[in-house]
Amino acid sequence: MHAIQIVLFLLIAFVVLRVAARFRAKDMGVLVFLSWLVFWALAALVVWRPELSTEIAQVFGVGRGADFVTYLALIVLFYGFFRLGVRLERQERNISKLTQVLALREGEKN
Amino acid sequence: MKTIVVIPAFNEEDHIGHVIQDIRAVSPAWDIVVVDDASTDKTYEHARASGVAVVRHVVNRGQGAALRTGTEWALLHGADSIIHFDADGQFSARELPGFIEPLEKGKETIVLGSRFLRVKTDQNNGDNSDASKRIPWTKRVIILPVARLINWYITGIKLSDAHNGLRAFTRDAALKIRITQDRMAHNSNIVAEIKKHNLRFKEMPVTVYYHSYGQRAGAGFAILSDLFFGKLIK
Repeated sequence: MHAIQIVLFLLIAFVVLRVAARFRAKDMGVLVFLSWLVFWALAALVVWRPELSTEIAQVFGVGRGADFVTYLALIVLFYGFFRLGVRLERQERNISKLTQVLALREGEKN
Repeated sequence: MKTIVVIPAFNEEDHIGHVIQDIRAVSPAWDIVVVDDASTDKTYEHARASGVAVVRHVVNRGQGAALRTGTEWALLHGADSIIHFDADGQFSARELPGFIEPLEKGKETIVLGSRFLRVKTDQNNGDNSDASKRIPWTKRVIILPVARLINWYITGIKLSDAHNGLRAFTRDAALKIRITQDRMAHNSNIVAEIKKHNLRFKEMPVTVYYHSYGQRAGAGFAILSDLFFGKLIK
């Protein structure tokens, strides 16, 4: 086993423990908890047998497993960025609404 | 007919007093509301000292948000027509009575200011004091034409001046128009609303005095980004 594999296993174990703690504290539902477990189990599997990712990658027409993981990560990141932008915009509008209500209310007093 | 002038202001302590005075001198009967968008200077104090209504944003929300607050205030106070007027002294208050004439005559429900309309008449009259000469040339030749095209594409309405802050609405029109853009994209936002509700509008010539360059090209990209994300939210 390579050093990088040990580091990644430890990281995954740490994340799974954190997820389990949040589940126990009822911060997340069963479905979300199970989805995370499956996700991290798959991640552990790929760390344990890296050639597996290459096999999956080739199904999608990508040569190397590492490239496939990078592409996937990029797609997820872009989507996350986009969602963040939309959420930020909504938040900004809510702040503006509050600001307006406060301004008008304060204006009535003067 | 009750007319209320809405002046959004952010750090305009040098101009706000004169702007208010000029409007008053032109039409003492009009009500004026200044929306202080959380200025860090003495804008609020100067506006209050002028004796007009002043409402204040506790945090800076941008010109679009300030206009929305001011328009809402005007509607709550029974305005029959509402004028949006900049606080930086770029516009000439003397032109206002002529500007809102189409509203008062009931011919239009909205009038939009244009820096470029007078130019044609001036040229016809052989007068060289046209307003467009005062516009910085990079703005006149590059930024504004591009902005016009993008605005036309986004809003579906072709205007001679895409980004002019002087406009006036009847009460009915103001009730229909939803300003959802907090920052500078409110301009395209308002034009798109005019198209959406099929409101009658007219562009009227106005003079713009440039004290500073105003918005730079970079602001255009910020506007596009605002419009993009704004489209995703109801």
